[in-house]
Amino acid sequence: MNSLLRFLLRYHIIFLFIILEGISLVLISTDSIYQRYRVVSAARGFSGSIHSYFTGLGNYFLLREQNDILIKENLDLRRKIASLPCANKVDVPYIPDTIGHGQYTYIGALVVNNSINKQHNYITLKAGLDDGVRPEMGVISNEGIVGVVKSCSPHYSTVISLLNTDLKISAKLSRTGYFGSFAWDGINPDVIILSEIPQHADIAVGDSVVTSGYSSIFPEGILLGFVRDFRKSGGNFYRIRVELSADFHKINYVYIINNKLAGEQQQLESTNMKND
Amino acid sequence: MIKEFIKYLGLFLLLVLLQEFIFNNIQLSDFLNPYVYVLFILILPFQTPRWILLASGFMLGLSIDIFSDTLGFHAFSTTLMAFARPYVLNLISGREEFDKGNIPSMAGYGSAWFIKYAAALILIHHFSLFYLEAFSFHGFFFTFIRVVLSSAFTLVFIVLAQMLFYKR
Repeated sequence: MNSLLRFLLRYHIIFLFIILEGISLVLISTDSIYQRYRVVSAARGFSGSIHSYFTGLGNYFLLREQNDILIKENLDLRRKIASLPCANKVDVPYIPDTIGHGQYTYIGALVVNNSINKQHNYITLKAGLDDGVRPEMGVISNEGIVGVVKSCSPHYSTVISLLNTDLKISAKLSRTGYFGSFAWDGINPDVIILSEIPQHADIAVGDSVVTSGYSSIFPEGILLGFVRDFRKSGGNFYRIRVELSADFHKINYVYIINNKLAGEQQQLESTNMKND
Repeated sequence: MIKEFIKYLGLFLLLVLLQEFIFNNIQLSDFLNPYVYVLFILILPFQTPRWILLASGFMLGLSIDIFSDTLGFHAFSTTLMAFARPYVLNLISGREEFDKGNIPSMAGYGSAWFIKYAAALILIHHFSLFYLEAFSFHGFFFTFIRVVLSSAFTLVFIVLAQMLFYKR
């Protein structure tokens, strides 16, 4: 016993070092424990309020640019309305929506903090639980997809950016309909990799890539980007580099998508998994 | 002693806040993110007990982690850096004795000595942090460039801080 104690005392620094590094590694590997949520959420409330002060200051100088973006979006929406069949014709029968007014509703939010130069980038939004934001909701800007809500405090929420090597979303080539998985490789913040597209698929540079709608997070058909180049990778798949349509260097306002049926879809899918 | 403690506690809080609200927002290029908060570990007094060194390194990293939602990553790197500090000091100073109660500073030991000391520890910290973040050696050289550029950037800020606050 005595010698054990002496041994521990002699190497106590090494032991302390190993224990602390062990704690760090455990923290890195466990992604969602309750304590973690509580601690991080308290810090978010504090840092979010300071960030939103600075952002308010910065946004004042970007008003002209924001104006241009809004005008462009307005124009796009007007064009879309004009091209809708029911806008010109009245012969489309009226189908009452029994589920509620649309499956998807949108919540607007201001970006108060954003980074692009790490491997795991996160975005902080000034909209939280009180505004109806919940974890697992999708986030888009007028240019394309931004990310997925990770956690919320009453007035702020953290979004896993599309520029985060942990985030994978389901995407498809809009011309041919082949779908694959869409994830960042951590290298260039303008380029994202679309993988798992089979080699018999017909691909051309410039093809647009959109969300597949297979997950309950994003509706189908939101623009992600355009094919920049592609090559065959191991197995029978293509590795396609996709130029992002959204410019992550300047994201100011985003929309959070609330899918009313997400819970139902997930529940059904998880019961199927259990039965397998 | 109490005075010293309060001084370092203040410095700790100041560096965490500066890192979160200023240095994390400096995005000159996609490659750069300086982590200037490691200055805290660099300028703890020479005779700081090693367990305090380790514990404060861990706490420093954890505080940064809590703000940036990267639980564990910074804590790992700062603990490693704090662990390595005595070895680095031995390595670059040989048997040279340091005055009791003195702190490693550019004014006290010359800029060449300080830059060597700071660069070694910053590299250890950034190396472990960036590779842990990437979690693979895929894109080894890309991560390597990020480590080197960010380390250089951090070093510049730390040397500037030394010149500003430890003038004689």
